[in-house]
Amino acid sequence: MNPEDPVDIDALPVAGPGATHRTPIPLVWLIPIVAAVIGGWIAVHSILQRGPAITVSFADAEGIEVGKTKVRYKNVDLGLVRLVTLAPDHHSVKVAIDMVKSAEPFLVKGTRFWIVRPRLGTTGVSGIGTLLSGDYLGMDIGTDRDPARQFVGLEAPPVIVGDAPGREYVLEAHDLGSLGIGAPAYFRHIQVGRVSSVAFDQSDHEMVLKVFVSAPYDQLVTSDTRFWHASGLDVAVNSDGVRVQTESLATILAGGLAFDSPVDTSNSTAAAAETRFRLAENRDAAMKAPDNISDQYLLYFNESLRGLSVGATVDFHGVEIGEVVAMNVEYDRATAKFAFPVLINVYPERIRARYRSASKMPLMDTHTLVVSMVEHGFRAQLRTASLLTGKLYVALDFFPQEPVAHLATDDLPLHLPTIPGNLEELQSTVTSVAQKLDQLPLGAIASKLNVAAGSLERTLATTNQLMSRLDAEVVPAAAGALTQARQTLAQTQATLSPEGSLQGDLHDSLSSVARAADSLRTLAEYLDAHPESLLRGKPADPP
Amino acid sequence: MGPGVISACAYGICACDTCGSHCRLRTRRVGACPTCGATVYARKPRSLVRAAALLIAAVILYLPANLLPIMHTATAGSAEDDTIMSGVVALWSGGSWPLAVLVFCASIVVPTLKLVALALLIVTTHRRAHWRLRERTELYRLIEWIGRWSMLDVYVLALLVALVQLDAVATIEPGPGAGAFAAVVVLTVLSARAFDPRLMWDRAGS
Repeated sequence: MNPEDPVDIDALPVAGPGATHRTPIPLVWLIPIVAAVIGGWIAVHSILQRGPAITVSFADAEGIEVGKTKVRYKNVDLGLVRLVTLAPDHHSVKVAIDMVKSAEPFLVKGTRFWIVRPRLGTTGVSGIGTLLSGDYLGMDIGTDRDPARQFVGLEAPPVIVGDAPGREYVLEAHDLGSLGIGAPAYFRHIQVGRVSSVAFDQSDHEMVLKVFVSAPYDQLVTSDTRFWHASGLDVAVNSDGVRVQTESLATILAGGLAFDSPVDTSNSTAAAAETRFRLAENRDAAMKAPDNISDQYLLYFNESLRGLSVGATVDFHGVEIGEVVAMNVEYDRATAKFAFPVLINVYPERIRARYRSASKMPLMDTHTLVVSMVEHGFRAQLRTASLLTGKLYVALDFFPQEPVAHLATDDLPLHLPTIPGNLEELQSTVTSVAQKLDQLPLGAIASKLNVAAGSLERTLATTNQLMSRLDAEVVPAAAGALTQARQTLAQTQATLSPEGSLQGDLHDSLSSVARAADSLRTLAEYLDAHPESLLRGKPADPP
Repeated sequence: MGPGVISACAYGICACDTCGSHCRLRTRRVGACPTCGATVYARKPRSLVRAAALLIAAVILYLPANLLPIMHTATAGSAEDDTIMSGVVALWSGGSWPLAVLVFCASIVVPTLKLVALALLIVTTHRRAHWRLRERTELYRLIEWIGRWSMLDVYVLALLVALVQLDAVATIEPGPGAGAFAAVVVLTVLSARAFDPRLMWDRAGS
């Protein structure tokens, strides 16, 4: 066939009958129907799966990413952040979260949310996984039943998650020390709990801590249990030497608290949750018998209060029965004088009555007792606790030699009379000696001494001249005299020698004396025999 | 007949798509080729209906294709679902602007344009409009040609899923949106195929 030739349309072959399987509705419509069913199912499914939308407010949205940050409870994803907006007051951010449907029962009042970030603390490292995955929202399910959709997020992870077994107790403390949220609580050096919250009570100006003690250790907390600060090192120097106490290395850095029950307690029933306890400064303070009753006394000391501090002990014969509560300065307009009152607390419970049970007498009123004691010389005195530190304490004691004093019982607190302390006595003695020294006419003495010293000098000069003259004149003469003396002595010696004339002469003389003595004896004997011879003379010799 | 157009159809002649021989159709517009026996038709049978049905199906699936995540990326510690749009945004914010523009065109502009254009063609043809017949024909040609490029996303996803299977470190899995998206692309291609552009001219002329 030549393509150039015109084609006769009618000569073309006629097509045969085609397939005739025609349906009234084209099958092609099945495709959109199937698509609609699939799309519809997906839509319905996603609507059914859509859980509740909640809003959590945070102070800061650091780490939260829309569409990425998830809500996790026990590492199960329960929601996704949909939107982060600034709150109308500009002080917080509102995080809108789409929760999964299954999370609906968990969204109740008391459910808590917080941002999980990597945290490095003294008590450990947490949230390491978020370094790779990004921050996520942690969740802790509340115990309430009321559903809630608005939540306030925590700024820090809670220490205690909802389902941890144990009990929470309330501690009152004057000072927080280095305790913080998460600080450990120890029972005999085992960590058994954590501080879960810290707050300041405006009404009574006390720190209020909550400590969570996990089971089974919560059974150890009874109404008698004492809590104390276990932060840092407790170094005590006393007569036994140096004593260092600490709970664990972590508490040195991070602080902590400890509790225990006194040995003599008989109470063994566990305290109810939320029981209030007092947090003591240290173990010793905690374990002290509680001082429920206290009497206040006012002391006026004339001496300086340097070295005395609030909290200094009040001691009675060496036994601690109280403490200094306050020290003030008072000005008396009338006398224009200053006074320094010291307020002390005395705990009469520490003074136990001897044979109390046996005594039939009613317990004497403390004031009456003190009045009678003061009449017997009961006085307060400042004493030095340590010469090294100069610390003072208040000593109460009897001084019977003191004049009798009477207490004015009408004004409270009672004014206890005081006497000067040892140190002050010493001081006054030294002062009086100094005054006497001061009164000496030191000036006159000095001038007289000056004059005396001048004359002494002159005397010495004269003496010096004399000595030199002696040297020049006397010494040669003396030498001659000595030579002469030696000659004389030699002569004397010659004279006195046995061969010398003197000895012979002496011998002769002595013989003559002996003869004379013989004659005298003869005469005496004769006279004895013939005393009349003295009168009559010697009778003629017989013929 | 269209303005100044002499079509074979008007003379009852049609060509066989299989063997190329021409034949005359008698009464109906469908028959069997006398040469090879294949079905021959002057115009694609029920072209508008089929095109419209496929287009409606594509429009329905267009919603989940764009709203559902097409890709599920799990890296150490985090899992992420990406829709087409969030993928584009991620690319853009990641600094890969050319890639973002490419993906945006291929995955969002082109399918949307195709849907709109097909709808336009079907509606105008159904209404026997004379409006801009030539431009509409060119539009149809463009749609047919561009259709295959819309599968770019699906191809990339298929590659990623096959390549990134490091169990512990990172895995990528297709999301439900991927299937819907692929279905949209396939359905639009089929719809464009089903649409017979000659009908535009036929209807405009009659």
